[in-house]
Amino acid sequence: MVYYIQVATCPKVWKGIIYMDINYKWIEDPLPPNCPPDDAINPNNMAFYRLVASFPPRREDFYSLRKIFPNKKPYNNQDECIQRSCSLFSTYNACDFIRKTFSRHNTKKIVKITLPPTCGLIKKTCSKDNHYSWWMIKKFDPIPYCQEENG
Amino acid sequence: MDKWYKMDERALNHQETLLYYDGPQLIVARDQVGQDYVCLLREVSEKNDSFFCVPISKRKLELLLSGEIDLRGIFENPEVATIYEAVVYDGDLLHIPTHEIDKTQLSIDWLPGHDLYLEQQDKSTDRIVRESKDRQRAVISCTLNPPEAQHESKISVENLIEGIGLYQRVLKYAYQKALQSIKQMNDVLKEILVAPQNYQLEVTGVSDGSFTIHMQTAANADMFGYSNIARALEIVDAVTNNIDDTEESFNIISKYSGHFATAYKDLLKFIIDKGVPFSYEWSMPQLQKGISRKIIPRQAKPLYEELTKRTEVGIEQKKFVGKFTRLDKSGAWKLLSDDDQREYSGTSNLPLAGTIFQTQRYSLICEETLSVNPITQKEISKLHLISFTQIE
Repeated sequence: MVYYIQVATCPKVWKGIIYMDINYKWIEDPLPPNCPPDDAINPNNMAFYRLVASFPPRREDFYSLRKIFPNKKPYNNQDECIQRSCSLFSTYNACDFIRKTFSRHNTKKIVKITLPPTCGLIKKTCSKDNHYSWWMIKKFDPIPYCQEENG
Repeated sequence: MDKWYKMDERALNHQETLLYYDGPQLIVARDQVGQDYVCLLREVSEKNDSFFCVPISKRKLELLLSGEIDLRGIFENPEVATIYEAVVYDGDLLHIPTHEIDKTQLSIDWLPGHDLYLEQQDKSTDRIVRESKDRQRAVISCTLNPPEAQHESKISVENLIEGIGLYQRVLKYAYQKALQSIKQMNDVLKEILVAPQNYQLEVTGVSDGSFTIHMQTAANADMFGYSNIARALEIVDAVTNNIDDTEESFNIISKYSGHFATAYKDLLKFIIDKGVPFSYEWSMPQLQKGISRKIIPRQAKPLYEELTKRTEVGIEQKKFVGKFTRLDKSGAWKLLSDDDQREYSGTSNLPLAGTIFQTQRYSLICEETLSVNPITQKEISKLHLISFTQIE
């Protein structure tokens, strides 16, 4: 069921009125303190690109490494909040670059995912223009929002 | 995997993440003696991450970061023919144990694909913005990364003089072209604007890393913080910003043509021939953000080839009015210009018989070509007469 909720419900994260499930939980609960960061934004139907094992993708294709390996220790000089997010690229080429660079990604597909307001929060991270971190709402199903891209 | 390696005491310390995708994928790390390595993520597991690493010189690292050389080449043809495996245990990127790998045991499957170049990232221009406000002038920093800077921060005198001289020349002619586009200019304004101090640069310092020369304009900015050299820099920025789009950058150069096109072409030739990536950043007191641009040899080549092919773009036409003071059968001539009372000389293929000298005024259209001494940067002008008419 979808409700309007206001900033007062969760003032640190949700600035302004947005659509979301009132019983939301992050896919990786609990997240570290101050995560997602204050300046993370609602993607509001922005399109991104991500590598997936096959098409149609599976939900696991959108898990962070920490979700895939729950006992994996965080990198000690990297922001743990970002490590608990799913990487997305704002351009196809940036995503394709990763696919061509790393042999373990060579056979993967690229999907374009248009993130609705109910999906969670995003933020441009890693000082790259095209890299975003996505903190996904647990109940959000990304699969219907994906389409295969071939460049 | 145990079979491939010999034990080594080397341990690396993460310096920078070049590619991030659900975690660091391509990193720069440094060992205890300050040697840099580029490391490519190979395997990820619950317990550890395994990277393949190659030692890399500072210059080659800069070339990689600036998108000048491709990623595969770094690993396929490393400067030191040794490949290491670095294993990050329990997320500890600050102490990464490393051991040498027997390359013969490796297939080529792990190498990055061909022709993959890292994207150039905008760097902060805060320093130059601040400096420009302090100095109340336009401030420009030029960075050259020549082959001799491979292991330490140095540059040959020849490359330094030529590189900076060529850039100054580009600015000079871009400035002159910018002035030509000003429709109405009274004598007072003209006198202010044509002064060489507007585009002439003074060196104020150098800094390490890649070889960076800090410069300022000879003239102060106006009371609004505007420097006239911005007129030239905007033209140069427009071309350089489109350096990857040969057609577009060529169109911009064609719009200004003449000596500006020749000067820009000469700068590209220097970048290509000497293998010197060239970058600059600039600001003036009224700007809140600096502007930075970079030209690397790989990008320079297609535009240089186009400019070499289309020679007409480099032709500069000049008009003179005055009296011939010498006319030779060979076509050589001299003319005393009404404009500045200077004597100009040139060549001609036109029949000059019957032309009156000393007393009759003529209007001439000439093509001017410039050649430049790369060491002294002195320009030698050659004029070739295209047409002339008698003024009644």
